Amino acid sequence: MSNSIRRWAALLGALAMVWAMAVPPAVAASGGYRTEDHVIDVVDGPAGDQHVAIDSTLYLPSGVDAGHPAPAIIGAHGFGQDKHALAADAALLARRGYAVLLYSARGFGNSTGKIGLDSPDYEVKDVHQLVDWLGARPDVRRDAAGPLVGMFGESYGGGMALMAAAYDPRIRAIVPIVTWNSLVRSFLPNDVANAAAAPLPGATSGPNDISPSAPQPGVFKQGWASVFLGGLPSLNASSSPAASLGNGAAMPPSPCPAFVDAVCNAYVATAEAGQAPPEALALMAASSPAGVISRIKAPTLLVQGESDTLFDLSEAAASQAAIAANGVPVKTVWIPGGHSALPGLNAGSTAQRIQSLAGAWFDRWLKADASVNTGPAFEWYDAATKRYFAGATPAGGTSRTLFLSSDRRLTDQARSARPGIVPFLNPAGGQPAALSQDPTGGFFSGLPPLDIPGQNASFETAPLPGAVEVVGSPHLRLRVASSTSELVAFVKVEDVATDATVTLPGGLVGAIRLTGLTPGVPKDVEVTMPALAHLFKAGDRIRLILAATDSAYANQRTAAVYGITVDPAASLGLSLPTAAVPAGGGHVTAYAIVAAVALAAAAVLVLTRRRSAVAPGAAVESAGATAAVTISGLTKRFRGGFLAVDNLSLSIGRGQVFGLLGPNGAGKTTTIRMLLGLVYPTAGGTAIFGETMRPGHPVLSRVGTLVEGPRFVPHLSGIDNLRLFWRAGGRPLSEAHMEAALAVAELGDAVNRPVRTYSHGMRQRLGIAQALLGQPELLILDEPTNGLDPQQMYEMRQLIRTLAGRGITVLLSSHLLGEVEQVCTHAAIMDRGRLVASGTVADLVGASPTVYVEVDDTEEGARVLRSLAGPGGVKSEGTGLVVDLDGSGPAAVAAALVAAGVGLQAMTPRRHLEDVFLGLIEDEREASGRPAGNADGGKVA
Amino acid sequence: MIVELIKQVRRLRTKLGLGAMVGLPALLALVFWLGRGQAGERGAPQDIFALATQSGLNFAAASLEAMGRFFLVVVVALFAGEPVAGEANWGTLRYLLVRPVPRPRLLRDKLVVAMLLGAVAILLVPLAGMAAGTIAFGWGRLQIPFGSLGTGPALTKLAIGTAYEAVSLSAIAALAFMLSTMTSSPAGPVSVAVGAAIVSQILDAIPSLGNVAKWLPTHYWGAWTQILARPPQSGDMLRGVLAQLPYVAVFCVVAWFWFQRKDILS
Repeated sequence: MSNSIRRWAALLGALAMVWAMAVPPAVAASGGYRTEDHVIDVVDGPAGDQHVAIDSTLYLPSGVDAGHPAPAIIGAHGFGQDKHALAADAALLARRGYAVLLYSARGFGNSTGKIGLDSPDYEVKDVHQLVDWLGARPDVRRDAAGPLVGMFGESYGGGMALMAAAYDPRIRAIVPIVTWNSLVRSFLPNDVANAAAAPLPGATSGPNDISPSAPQPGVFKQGWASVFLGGLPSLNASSSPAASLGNGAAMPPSPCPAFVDAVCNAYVATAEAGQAPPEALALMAASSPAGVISRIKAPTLLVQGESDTLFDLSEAAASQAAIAANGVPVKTVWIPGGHSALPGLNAGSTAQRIQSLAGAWFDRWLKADASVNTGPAFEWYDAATKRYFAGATPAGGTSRTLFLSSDRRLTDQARSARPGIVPFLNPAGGQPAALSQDPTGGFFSGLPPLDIPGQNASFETAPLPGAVEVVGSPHLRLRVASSTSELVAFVKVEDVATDATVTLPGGLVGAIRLTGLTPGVPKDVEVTMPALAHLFKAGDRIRLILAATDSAYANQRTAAVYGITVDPAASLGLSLPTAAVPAGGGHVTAYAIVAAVALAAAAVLVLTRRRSAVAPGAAVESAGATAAVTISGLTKRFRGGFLAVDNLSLSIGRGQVFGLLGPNGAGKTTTIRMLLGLVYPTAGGTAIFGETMRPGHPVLSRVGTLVEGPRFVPHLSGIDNLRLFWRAGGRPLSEAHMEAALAVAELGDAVNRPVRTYSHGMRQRLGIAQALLGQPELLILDEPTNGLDPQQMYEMRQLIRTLAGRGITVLLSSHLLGEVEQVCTHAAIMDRGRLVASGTVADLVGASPTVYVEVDDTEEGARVLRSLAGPGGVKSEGTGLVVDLDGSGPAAVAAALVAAGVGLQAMTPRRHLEDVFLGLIEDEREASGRPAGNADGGKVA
Repeated sequence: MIVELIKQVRRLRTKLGLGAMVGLPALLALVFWLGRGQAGERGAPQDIFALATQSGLNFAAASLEAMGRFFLVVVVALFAGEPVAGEANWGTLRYLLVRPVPRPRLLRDKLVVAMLLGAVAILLVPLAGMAAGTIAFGWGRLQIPFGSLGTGPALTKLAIGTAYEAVSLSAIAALAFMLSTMTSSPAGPVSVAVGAAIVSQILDAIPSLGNVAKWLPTHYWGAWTQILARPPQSGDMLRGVLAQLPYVAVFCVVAWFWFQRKDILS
């Protein structure tokens, strides 16, 4: 046959050439290419006797001429369009170096003739002659087999590309976009695999099943059919039925005047009956690539839309399988959009993707540039992530099976399925009908699917524990029965989101038509639904619906009761082809960016903080190497304005026992906290052993502290508290001198009890022991005798004296004057944050009018000294005597005692520190104009 | 750090917290065991809890999911929110600081120990669930929607899921830790952090929040179950982990800054 076609084509090609030369072309030029308009006369029809003038535009790249011929590409427009529809694509391909011929198919645009639906008798012959016309041009590249021609087209034009490639081997590469494999399946789908002995024309299972002579029709997709044949608004006006009816001249010859009579008759007969008569089936089969696809040797890039209820994804899948079986390179790309959502198809990013893919495809297979990479064999678009993903084939991966249960569940556990029968009704007349799609893009097109109660059986999963990406054709195994001999049903796989909104992926519906049933007797059927690409999110439910009606189809008009039998043993249910769920695109990136920025900011802050880590407060000039503690201009004003310490300067020499005296609230504790780096000074600073203090300064390891009472971890024993406290500093336990410290604490076995059981005194002693750990060089004791009984206070004083004797510097704060007087060598008196006085205790007391003496004979001593004493006389105190010197010095006392032969064991000036203290504070407060005895309240200097 | 660990491990609240992580799954197993037989007849949905009684592995997964939304939050917030404020409450914080323990190191040690204890608590949940579930329902493959998993893959996936749960609690833990540096009342940070988790989950349930909800620290809690799906999915887990990082970074930086500059008056 192909030989005869070639001969016949050559003849007609010569004719066409004559025509082309006779009509001078209109020429235009723009960047990178120029265009020429040609009217190409072709001859077609079953008998080869119909003359048609094809309106066309040729895009010629700059620099292409007879000496530099270019490969050619024919672009075929969609239904209702004309040659201008693909101008943008043609321009891109021309710039890529291809001569591109756009033409208006017969019955469209300015071309003459009527629409034959890509028929081998009409349109196929036209394209053959277009190839002839290209082949006659010297600027079109050719080889031994003829001109190098590729073809692309959308929808009607895509079908044309497949048909033309099947009939014309000079077409070397094709890119059919959103088109059909079988018009029978597209307009009369029956997705039942074993509905009849004879396979469906264009069945999706493979090229060997194609048998156009034995059609087994399904359910008429009347919604779409009416859009195409009943009068599409964008059909050219002169040929639309309305225009024909409106010219008033005569009755129009046909209800569909734009179409050749055979097509029109087939449509009318089918639409009226709701079923296709044999001649209609034969006509559709003849216009389908399915029947001739085994002839296609041109590498094919199939582009199909995921929202396309007219030519669904299964159409491309069928073509893919058949062309691959020819041993021809084939690639499938699923894009967003399609006939059900045409704006999606034309959206910029999708159009660009198609253009670049098509360009690469032609470069690879038309220019035969082996270096071009055309990518994976299958790509699909994921609407959730808005990205393309690659796979080997659609439905080539894993699958998930969900079993029916008569309690309306879908379960993945066959054993938990419950047996039973789920009935539903087909209404008389097929109305009202469920709504799944609106092919006209009209009012209902944005609505969720609508099901009529009672007219469907629905089965639903529990919320999905994880997302499920379905890519490919869902497959059902069902056991169905009807009260009549026929059954028509529509299958939907819906996504019920967590907020109960229902989505019908792609608007896709599977159609089932069973005939010759025995009423009431169940029959097992296998159903392969149209392929879909949809992400069921975690938490969503998958719902399977079998509905008796669908408004887009010609429904069964006979009332009937249908039943779905559920038999757990028969593995009845739904199998979904799945792909790995794509990771989110932009969303993850957004998280990653925010996380990275936060971490980077944190890192920057941490690093800059390190550099400026020195505490506020000026470096402190140490008062010589002997100073253990230097306090310089120390000021602390708390938030809220309270001035706790006001410009305090002090120096404590090594070996001193220094008392910090003052009433409660004088600022003693705040001073000590600043000295230890616990509180930041507002101004001034402190130094210990010459090291300017900052929080956590290592010099603190040479300091033992008891600050505002002892505190311990209550659930740990005393010994554990000491051990952990020591180890927190990072030094080995052997350096702690634990035994010595515990000896001081005198806790006995109590050291092993939790501290929360201790008395206050025990805690105080443990606190002192903790301060003594590691034999510090400086002891800072804040109110060390607080809470101790007199005996313990005495022992504390003895301990401090002992430590001082070892050369340890001691700073103790107290509000108890006697304590300071008894143990301290030096003291400072604070009041309301200020230093009132400081110096040696002796100096503070000044020229003391009394001395304390201890003699071997107290009575004799008292007698001797009474003669010296002033008004205060001689009093006995403890084991010694207190003598009022009344102006005489201590030397006189000593001399008198020696003269009397009384052994002088000790003599110390008797310190009236209390008097000094009160006097000084009184003076200070008078000086600052404030009443005494009010240490509280802010003092704002 | 060891010191801090000893200090915390020997506390009653630590023992109680960890004990609850063992006890609650065991209690749950008992409840499921007593109620066995009823679930199947009710035709319960095929979710992680309906599958809980299939095997010890299933019960481990169910325990992790059951505890993740609240009990684990409380325990992790307790471990993270208590240490610094607790030390201040005891009055021992000042002694540690003059020991001296540098403030950043103190925070680091406390945070590391809190994380460690939190991780142990989270780890105990599936382990206890597995033990209790195996006793109650026997050992077997991990039944998942769309199939089942053998011991090796199941344990690997549970381990990844547990690790994810641990990471996804880090924002709440960091919040508790930050608040802990700001107060000497240990109950405050813990309750505020638990409250924040609850508020976040409530907000997450408001549909009108839209995309804002996806940035809530609790939005991707429970995403670990996606690793059990077939095929396993990691997108939400990745998002969940990344969503924690800004919170952790901000809370930790604030904690460190605050604590470094703070006057220790406790």
